[in-house]
Amino acid sequence: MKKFFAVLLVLAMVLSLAACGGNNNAPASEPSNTDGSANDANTPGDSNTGSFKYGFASWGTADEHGRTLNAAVGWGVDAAGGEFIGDAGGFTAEATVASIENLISAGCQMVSFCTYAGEASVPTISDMCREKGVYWTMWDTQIADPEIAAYIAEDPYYVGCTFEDNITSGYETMKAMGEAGATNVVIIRYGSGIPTCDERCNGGIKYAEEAGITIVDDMIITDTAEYKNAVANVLLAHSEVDGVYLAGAGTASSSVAEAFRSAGKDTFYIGAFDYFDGMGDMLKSGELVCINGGHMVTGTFSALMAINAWQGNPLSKDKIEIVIPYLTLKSYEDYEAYMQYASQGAAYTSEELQQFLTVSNPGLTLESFQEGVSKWSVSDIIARKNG
Amino acid sequence: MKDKMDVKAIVKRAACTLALPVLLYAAMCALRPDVYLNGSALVTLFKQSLSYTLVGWSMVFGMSCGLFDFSVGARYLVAALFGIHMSQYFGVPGFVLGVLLSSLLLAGLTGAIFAGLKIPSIITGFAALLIFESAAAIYQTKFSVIITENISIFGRSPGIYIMTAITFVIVYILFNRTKFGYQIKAIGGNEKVARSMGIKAVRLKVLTYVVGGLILGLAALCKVGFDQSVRAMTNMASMSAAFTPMMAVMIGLYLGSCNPVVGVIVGSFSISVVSSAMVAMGINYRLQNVFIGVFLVIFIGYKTNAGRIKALFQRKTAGRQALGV
Amino acid sequence: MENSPLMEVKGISKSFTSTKALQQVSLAVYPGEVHGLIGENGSGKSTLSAIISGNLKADEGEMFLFGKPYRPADSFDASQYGVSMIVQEQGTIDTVSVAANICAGREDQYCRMGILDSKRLTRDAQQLLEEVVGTSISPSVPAGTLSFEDRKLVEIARAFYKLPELFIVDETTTALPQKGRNILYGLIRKLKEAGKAVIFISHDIDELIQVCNCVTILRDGRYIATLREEEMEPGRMKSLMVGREVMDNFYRSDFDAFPADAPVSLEVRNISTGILKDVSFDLHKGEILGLAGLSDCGIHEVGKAVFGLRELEAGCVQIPGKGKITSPHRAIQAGMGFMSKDRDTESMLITLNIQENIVLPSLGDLQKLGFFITPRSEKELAEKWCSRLSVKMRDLEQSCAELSGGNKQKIVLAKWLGNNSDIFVLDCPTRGIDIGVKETIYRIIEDLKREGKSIIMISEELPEVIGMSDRILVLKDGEIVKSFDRSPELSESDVIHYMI
Repeated sequence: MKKFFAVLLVLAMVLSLAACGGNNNAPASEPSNTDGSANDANTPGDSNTGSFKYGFASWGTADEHGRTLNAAVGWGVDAAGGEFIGDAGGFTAEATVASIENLISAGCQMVSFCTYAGEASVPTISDMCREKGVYWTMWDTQIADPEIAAYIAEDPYYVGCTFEDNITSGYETMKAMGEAGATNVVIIRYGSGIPTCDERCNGGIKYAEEAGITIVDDMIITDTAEYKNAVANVLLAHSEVDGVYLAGAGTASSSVAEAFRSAGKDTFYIGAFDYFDGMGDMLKSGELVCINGGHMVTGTFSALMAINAWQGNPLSKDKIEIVIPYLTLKSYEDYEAYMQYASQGAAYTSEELQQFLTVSNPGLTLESFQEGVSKWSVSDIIARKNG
Repeated sequence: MKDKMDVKAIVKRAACTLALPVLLYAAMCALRPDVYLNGSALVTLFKQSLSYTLVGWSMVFGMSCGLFDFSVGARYLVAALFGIHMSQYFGVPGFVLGVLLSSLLLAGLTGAIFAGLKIPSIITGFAALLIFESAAAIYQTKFSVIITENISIFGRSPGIYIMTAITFVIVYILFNRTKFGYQIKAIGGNEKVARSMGIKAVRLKVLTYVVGGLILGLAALCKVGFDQSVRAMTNMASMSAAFTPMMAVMIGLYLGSCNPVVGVIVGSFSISVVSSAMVAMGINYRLQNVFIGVFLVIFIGYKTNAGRIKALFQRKTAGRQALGV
Repeated sequence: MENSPLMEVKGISKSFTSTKALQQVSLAVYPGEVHGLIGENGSGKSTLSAIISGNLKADEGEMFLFGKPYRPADSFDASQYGVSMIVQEQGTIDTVSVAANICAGREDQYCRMGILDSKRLTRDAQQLLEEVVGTSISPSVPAGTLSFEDRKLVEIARAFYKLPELFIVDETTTALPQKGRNILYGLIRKLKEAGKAVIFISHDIDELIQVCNCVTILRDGRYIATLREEEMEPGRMKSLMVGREVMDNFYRSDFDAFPADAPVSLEVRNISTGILKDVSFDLHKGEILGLAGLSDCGIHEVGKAVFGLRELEAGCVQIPGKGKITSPHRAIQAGMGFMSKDRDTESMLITLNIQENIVLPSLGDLQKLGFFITPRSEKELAEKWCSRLSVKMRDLEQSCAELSGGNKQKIVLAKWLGNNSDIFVLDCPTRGIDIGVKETIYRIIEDLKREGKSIIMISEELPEVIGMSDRILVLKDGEIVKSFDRSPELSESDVIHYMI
């Protein structure tokens, strides 16, 4: 009897898996508007109007960067009159794919994600979106694999991507450290084989080679709780180390500073990526020389790109690549400006963001879009806010 | 005569206990005398090892009676974040009470799930890990995580040494000089027989969670100030925070020549020396965990097979003697 | 003896799923009495003693201690009432000290303000060990470092932490060498003289007659009879146990000379390991070779060494035409089977079921197409041997942990019979099992001999070795000191002379 029921249950499971894998265009949730577009698959090239759902996949909002990233995407979606839906999956490729599935099931007409966990899942996501007729973009990403790039170039629902110039930013960060006095630097990567991370480091290493800065060690540490001990060990073995270049996980800056202090060093230089709580104090004390962040707007502009396409006004008939600069903070004053204009409040008003939509700005072109996006520095923000 | 034998036995046990860390450190002194042949390196490594020691002590009770709880890292995160948040309103007392009370509460909850649902500790640990990790991730978004100088005192000299000494005394007494300590060791030895001796195994196991939670709270007070960073993790990443202290506890339990509470210190310090050694020798960071894993296997493998190794040497010696060599 | 019973059980019943272990059993034990309890395997005597000692709860019935209702919550609670028990299996915790073992559950008595006075605890344990069992075992060492006998003595000391009103000895003596037994008998005498009571469970009828004032016989979970001292006669006891007439001598009845030219099935050459020194002998086809000696003379080590369980320091064990035996795996491949003295931990996988235990060594033979094993073939094999050995079981899926000692022994035999083994090493094959099952096992051994199988029978029971073997090797201090051929004139004293 037990065996009979076991076989029955296995069959039921197999059948249900087969059923789930079938073509099912019905959305999991109720439509949020009555324009008839919310739950139907989009046809590329169609013009769509009215409200919409925009899905955004990220690792979550536990940290400063994640928090501001999600908020920034919300600015763009709100400005365009849509509904922002975020899905926090985590740092793995499987989590990203799962997030996109969830967002499509929730009825999103557009989705966006980043390849911080690697590019291998991109074709899978492309297939999913193509099947469901969902427009998609990537933020903070530039595909390195030519085969994947070629694959997605054929996808009519793929709009394009936004990315930072990590190499230049990495270069500038190491330059800031060098100019401040760093001569023997340790690089700490937050993961292995992550293009964003590697590009930042490559930029930094390039400047170091040009300026004669010694890269004492190049480490990969995924757990920020281990940063302090790792740096302490390096300082033990190499007392000449006076700088640490954090390719990400800026939040570990305070641990790194503590490691230097514990080793009896008062003068040291930290350059980092990704904002964190407490960075203001560290910039003030000079322990933190340069911190790159503010790339939450990669999410904003990838959203606006997608919305333009959905509304039937693609910025280009080709796939779009928009370069977005980091918001680099090198002083406490920079930090205060960031907090005032970009963190606590929106760096852009709705009206300013609507200028990036063709429906509000008929003269918008790809070039003017890029130009507008490039005006992303502390001074640009201050100038914009002060009229 | 008896005193002489006792002293001899004590010296022998002390030597066996210290052999591992001393040999490791001596090896490093030989390889990199410029780095390790000075007192400050020893102090640095010892101080580094304290965070593993403190967390390891919180795990020694449970591990002694066969409980493996990977939620330690996640519980630490929640307790640390709560303490930091409370410090923003109530200063150092808020930090201390916040950390200790939340750690006790979370540990008690985990123990209650374990006892109430009668599921293996490893499953309870995973479930608690997922729940508390998510809680930490959500909680962290509600306030700015700023670790002030005030609350860092427990993680800096001399605070960290004082806290370690206090925690050591508490753990040592609990583990060796209380009914609780005696009985958890009995359960770890043979639970079936222990139950027949009137020991209430389930109740005691729940108590190990609570006591472990208290010690974890003390550990968290130090770790926050020591690490100077508390960041919520997701996708079971906080499990890695439990691994190194767990290894230290395993070394402590396997040492055999000393009390496990002291053994944890030895284990933690040994791991710190190995970690530091790899950096000093320029071993690629990707390979460092390989070396730590190999070190653990060699140590535990040696301890498990010590009898056979000894018998082999004895046979070889007897063989050589028989041959007149 | 007083008229009021010290312990009285009325109408006790206990079932384990569909197996009725006890049915309406009643018993009365009086102060100053040593009350024996005997029965075949599965008769319910261990179940009854477990209920009285608080380890199990009865489904029905009542118990009275000194006329008052007695319902212990667990064994510790029973010990607080003055009811203590020692069992055959391990009852100490290896990883904690002897003192901690003795005082476990009573730590409160040594605590002041939460801190335990370990010195006083150790001192009390030392005193107890000296007074109760008269030994110099160190209370500070882990119990696991002690020999099996010493661990039993520690258990006895624990049982006597507080002088028990009722002391239950559940088949412990079979696991103890003579010295340990004498200590136990001494304690039993003391309790008797002090007006306490003892329930003594053993399969050894002679021992029961020697030690007990009366004996109660159980059969199939039911009370059969209580015999007073003057009525205790081996033949009568045996018949009441099995429910039929049992012949006194159930060993082999033949005394045929073993053929000198019988082919050799196993060669043991100059093996040395542990206590064994330069041991050599041959085993022949169709021969039952008995090994006799004191428990620590090395007879058990011979069995393990021959089966490849001990690494040899010198010498070798080989099977002509099949090579050397260097590991249990090689031994099994060469057609050997081994029954260990320590049945539960070394002979079978106690947590698995009957079928799983029986088929385990035969999985290679059951494979079809080199990898696939059908449930049907497993079942057929297990059923065949359970039927042939008359195993008392619920079904093949019953856990071996639930079986009585005798039935477990049958499962171990079935395992090796099912594997078509040619050489059987049987270490204490009838230890702790009753007459009925002993007889069955002796008949099986005889059948194996007739089929041309070779058997090494290691036993501490001289009547068994003398009664069953074609040839007996006597070991002393790890060396073979004498060999005897089967003969009706051979007596126990002849063998003992060389053993001691």
